[in-house]
Amino acid sequence: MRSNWLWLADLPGRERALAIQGGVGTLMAPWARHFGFVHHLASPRSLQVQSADPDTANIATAGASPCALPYRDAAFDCVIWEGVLERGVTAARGADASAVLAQVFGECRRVLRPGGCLYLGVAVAAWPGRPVGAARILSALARIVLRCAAVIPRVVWQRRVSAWVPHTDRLSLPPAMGRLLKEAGFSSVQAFYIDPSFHQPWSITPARRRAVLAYESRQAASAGLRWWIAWLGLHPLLYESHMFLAYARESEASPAPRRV
Amino acid sequence: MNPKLRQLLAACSVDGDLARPIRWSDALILQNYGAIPPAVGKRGSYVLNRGFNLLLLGRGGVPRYFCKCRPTADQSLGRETAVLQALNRDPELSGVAPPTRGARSEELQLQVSEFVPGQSYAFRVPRLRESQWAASMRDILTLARRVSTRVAALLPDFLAGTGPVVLHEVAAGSLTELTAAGLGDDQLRALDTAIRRAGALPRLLQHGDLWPANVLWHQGAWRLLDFESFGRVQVPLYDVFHFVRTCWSLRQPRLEAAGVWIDSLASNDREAALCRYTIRRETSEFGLDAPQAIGVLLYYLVDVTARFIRRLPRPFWEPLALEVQRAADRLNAGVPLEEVVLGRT
Repeated sequence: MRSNWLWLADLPGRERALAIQGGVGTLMAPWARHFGFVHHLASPRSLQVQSADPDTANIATAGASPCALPYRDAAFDCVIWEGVLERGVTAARGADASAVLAQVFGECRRVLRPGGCLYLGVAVAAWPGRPVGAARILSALARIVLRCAAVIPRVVWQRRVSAWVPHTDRLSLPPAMGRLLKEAGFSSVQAFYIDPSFHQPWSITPARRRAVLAYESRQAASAGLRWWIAWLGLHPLLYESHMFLAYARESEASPAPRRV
Repeated sequence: MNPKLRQLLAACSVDGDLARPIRWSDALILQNYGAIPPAVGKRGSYVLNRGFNLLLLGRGGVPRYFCKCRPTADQSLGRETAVLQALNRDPELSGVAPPTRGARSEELQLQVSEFVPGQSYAFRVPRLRESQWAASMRDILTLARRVSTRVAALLPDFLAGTGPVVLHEVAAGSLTELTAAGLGDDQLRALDTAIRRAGALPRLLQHGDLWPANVLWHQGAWRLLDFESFGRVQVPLYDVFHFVRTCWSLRQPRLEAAGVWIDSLASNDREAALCRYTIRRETSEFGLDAPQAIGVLLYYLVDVTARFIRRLPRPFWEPLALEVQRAADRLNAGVPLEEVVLGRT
């Protein structure tokens, strides 16, 4: 069910896809059913031999870093990168994560055909860099709230406040990823929320206020706290897992792809 | 959106609005049960799953269409589309189900219904007063009975035969599967004997999954949803037992401490009395006698438990298996189940 996002993606073709750092036998089989041929890029350390399973005969595995993809320009209809902030290249948290992501996104843009789509799956939406946009204000407020929580006598309230405060860095993720993808040359970026988790994607909701309100309205009989948070436009706070579809459409407005 | 999905949506368009491009921000994937195309089993056959549902928003973010997307090999969706379209055409029951269309390609089949914005009965039922609960159950079960009768006339091919249903014959398969749930031989024998006592019953198509989440209140009328299992069961009263049991469990303050429904029916509290009254009234509406009602109750419990055992892990079917065991134990202890389930008449 983790592969059903492909029904939301507008792909130019289904001939060839590149899956970055997936694992053969886990999610490679669904990609192999959707695409004519799938290249699986594993980190050199975890390189595995190509599976002998007939279901995955159209998968070729190679070992390389996503910062320098060993493929020619415009080779793929789709590039799939799951666990963007968790695995491999971006595992090191901090300010340089942006630089690494920008480099990988540039490479993804280079190997995509015109109209091709980059899929990014983020299991834990915690932006590793500095807060961006509304998150800057909210994280400052959160620090104040956290200090106040220490003097609140009731343990239950302390727990509630402490549980919500770390989620403010979720607000940074959509704008930061959007900016990096645009800078890498992607002409349009679509953000979605995955609920309840990346590994159990029971729903995929566009990260737009009205779509989130429609989704949250179905979850409860009456408008609760979650609905009001979404109404205020702070919906990134509500969801732990995100996904992004970035398109490499040719247009005059889009900047030239960054060559690495 | 995927061009193949877009084509199918356009094929389901009535007034042309689905033929126009759909904005990415207006499509939500809901109830994402399984991948399409489905996984291929080791022997090369497709492992069936229920695909996913799609909610399409209209102007102002208001839900406009509800779409079910299933693998092509799935048999249930085509049947459901046929039922909904038959109801749409029927002048008396056209309001019960939303206007629906269907289309299919090599790897995907689609059912598009106009979104029904009503409130789910599952949200209402825990808050209803006893009299309101009894009245709403009566109305919903009456509607379900009308739908069953009408669809049998509109789609005669759905009936598995023209003669009556011999209960122990349809129950035999599920009964043997219950050994996996830890039922002993004496328990299985008691159940089989009670089911045999019911003999043959008139054949009637059942909704198959009539529970509060599949019932909506909209514009002053009840609407029924999810006809994917419609006609799988053709034993009258099956829907009644499923509906009453699930309503009862939703009305319990703490579901995990709700206990066993069969035990609750034997108690003297008001909720149990209302359950018994509803079952008694429906039994009479169908023209069945007490042994037949008990036979159907046991068949229902056995069938739903066996289906859960086939599809779901132990924690899901364990409470149902306990219901079956309690019923069998009462039969073995010589307790007249007629009195427990229907009350003293």
